[in-house]
Amino acid sequence: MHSTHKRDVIKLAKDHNVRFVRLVFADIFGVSKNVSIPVSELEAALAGRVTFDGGSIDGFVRGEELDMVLRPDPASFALYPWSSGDGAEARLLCDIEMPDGSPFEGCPRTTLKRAVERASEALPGLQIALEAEFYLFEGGTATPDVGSYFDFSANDRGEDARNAIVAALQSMGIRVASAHHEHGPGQHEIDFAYGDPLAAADNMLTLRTVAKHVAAGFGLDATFMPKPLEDRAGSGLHVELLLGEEADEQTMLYVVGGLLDHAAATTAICNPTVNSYKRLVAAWDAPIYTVWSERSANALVRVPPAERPRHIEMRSPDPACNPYLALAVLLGAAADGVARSLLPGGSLPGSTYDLNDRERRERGIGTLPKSLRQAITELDNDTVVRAALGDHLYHAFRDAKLAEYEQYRRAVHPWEHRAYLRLY
Amino acid sequence: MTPDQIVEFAEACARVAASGGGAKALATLLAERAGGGVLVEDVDWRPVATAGKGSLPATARGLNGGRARTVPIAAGDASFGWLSVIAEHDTDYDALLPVLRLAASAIAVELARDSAGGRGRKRAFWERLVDRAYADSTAAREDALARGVAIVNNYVCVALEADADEDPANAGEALRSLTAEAFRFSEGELGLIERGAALVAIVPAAREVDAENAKTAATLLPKTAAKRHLTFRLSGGISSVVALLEVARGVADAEASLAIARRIYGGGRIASYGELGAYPLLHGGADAEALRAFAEATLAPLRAYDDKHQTELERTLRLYFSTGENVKTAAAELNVHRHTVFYRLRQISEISGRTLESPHDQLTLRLAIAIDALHT
Repeated sequence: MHSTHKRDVIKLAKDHNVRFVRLVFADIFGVSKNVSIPVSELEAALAGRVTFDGGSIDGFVRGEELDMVLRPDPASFALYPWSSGDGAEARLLCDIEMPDGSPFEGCPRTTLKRAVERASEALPGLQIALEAEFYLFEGGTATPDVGSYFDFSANDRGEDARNAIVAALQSMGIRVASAHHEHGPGQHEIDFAYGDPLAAADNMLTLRTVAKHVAAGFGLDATFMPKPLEDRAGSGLHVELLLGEEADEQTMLYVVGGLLDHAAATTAICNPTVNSYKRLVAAWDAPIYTVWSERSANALVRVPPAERPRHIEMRSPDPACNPYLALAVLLGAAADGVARSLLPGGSLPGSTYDLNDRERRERGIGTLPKSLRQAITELDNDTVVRAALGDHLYHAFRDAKLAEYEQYRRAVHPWEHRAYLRLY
Repeated sequence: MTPDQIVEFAEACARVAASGGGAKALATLLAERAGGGVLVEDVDWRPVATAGKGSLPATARGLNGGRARTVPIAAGDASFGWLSVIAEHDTDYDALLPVLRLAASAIAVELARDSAGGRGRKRAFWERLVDRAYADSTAAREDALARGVAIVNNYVCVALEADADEDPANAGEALRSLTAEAFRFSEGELGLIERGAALVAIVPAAREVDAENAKTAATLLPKTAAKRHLTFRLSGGISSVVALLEVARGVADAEASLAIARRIYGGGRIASYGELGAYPLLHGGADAEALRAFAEATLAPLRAYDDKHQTELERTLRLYFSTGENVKTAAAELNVHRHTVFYRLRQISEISGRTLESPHDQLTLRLAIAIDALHT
């Protein structure tokens, strides 16, 4: 149900008896925020006349309250698969502008658009597909099934819910390539079809909203938390890059070189929570080293063997990331690899977990940050990744995440009680 | 900015340079004239010098036309980096452009002079190394230090020749520039010397990854040349990894690989000594010791795999050849299904890095097996 003209959006809203339209935007953490308007205000909204208080959104505007403008993208118009009373409900994804109409530097969607434009010369025709993993729980962290990879599960509410989520996404015009049960009980994966980077990030934002909404209808909770359970696989958000038709092996190597060279810094954006680093451990095929491979399941970057390899998989990001910012920094890293002709070394044939210190040193393999704090330090030292974010977002993100890390550092965790309370 | 002001600025640049002021001093002069901040960055956008007031971004990359005005720092074909002015919001950048370009030229001259002074002395080190002029590695290291050459333990040597129908002098210069750029990632210093018609690059390979990247970069050179619309046809040879004092052998291996590649493939290709298999033996001749070493090195990956996994890959390969590549007969001899033989042949290709469908690779494996039978 995609349309590119404002007048088509108004007609579609009328044809489908839409009563409310949610003007959706992402904050710096990639959390969906929205302003709901009655359909009578749609024309004004499309003309950029709906404003909101930017001062109340974390990381947007510091110091003073400022009315900021929501600029809807008509191509993102879609009907939600649930109704609103006696009428339908629709959404429009929005960019954020300053009151004078200039782009807001803290808008993640605008940042990705800028990154796509910058990378277009180095990476013409690049397409992205995201593979999102998530858990479906029923009350707390109990799971509705005992399935594993690709299982059929009879009488499994989780599978029914996943199918309903896919159907809901498709009804909104989003192309889903496949969906399946993942490694852990209650863990599922939805793989989107390839599209342009902006659409890929838009789809991920939509998935998080739709999955939570649909799962609730089945009495389940959908969570995109990277590592909800200590003893089960974490949830990743694999980023699949498909290079343009003109790309050759040389371009592929440079892109991989760029992704590896900037991996430590992009981790802060792609794995943005303290919980993210409990997934990035040597288990369940999570990547921990900056290495690429054609076959290894736990390499950071995987390039499936092909005569002219154009398909590159970045495996570290997790679904708690802001998809706009994650793609912006990954595109910045990849384009820098092409600009500087960065080579990635040889591909690793076996498991990365088997490498010892000497082998890693000889192969030039680095380690991904082990904590959010370490990741932020890496981000501080990487001018390319910082430039992909822009000064405003870099500082806003950094301040917010340092505060988050400090809160976490001061918290006393249940593990500490178990380990020390009776011992000392 | 009036012509008089521009001339005055040029004279100020000359005074700064004449009094020994480098990039930093020239950047400071520019910052005073522009009334903002100045960033001097190398070709990879890494900071070289900063000057002036105000909060400067970490890099000016991507800011040209917005917050900054950036011009290249270049002298002739040599690029040294980028000079950027980050001035006030209402600055007329177009008016600043003449002094920005003047400052960039002056900085380029300074940087070019810095690098050209030691070039001849450095080149002499590499030539002496290739001529085996050093008695031991200590002598080589001391001379490198005296000549300001940063050396590492291991190197990969690459011999390159450009076949140009027109203007061979220009082709040679373009090849030199292309080569210097292709190997600039290396830790340690790149040696570039001319030997006959070939340009030889002695690429530092401090770690395995540097050696891998050196070989990959060399292999990609013809594509890079084509993308830059360079009209020459490039042929080359790559040595194995050699230690500092073995660079002479590495250069000889690279030159042999270049000669073999021209004979076997007709030029236009960069061949690696290790991948040429039996051809270097046939090209240069070899004594029994060299033949044995070749056979052992060629069969070593299969033997290591057999030892570790209790498989029979080497025996399967011998039977495959001795039965005239008859899979059915080999399967009967091995007492396995023929599909198992096909599976093992695929494994052999993967582990040995030699494709059985390739006549060149097959020659190497057959010769290794024959030498192994005769000499061990």
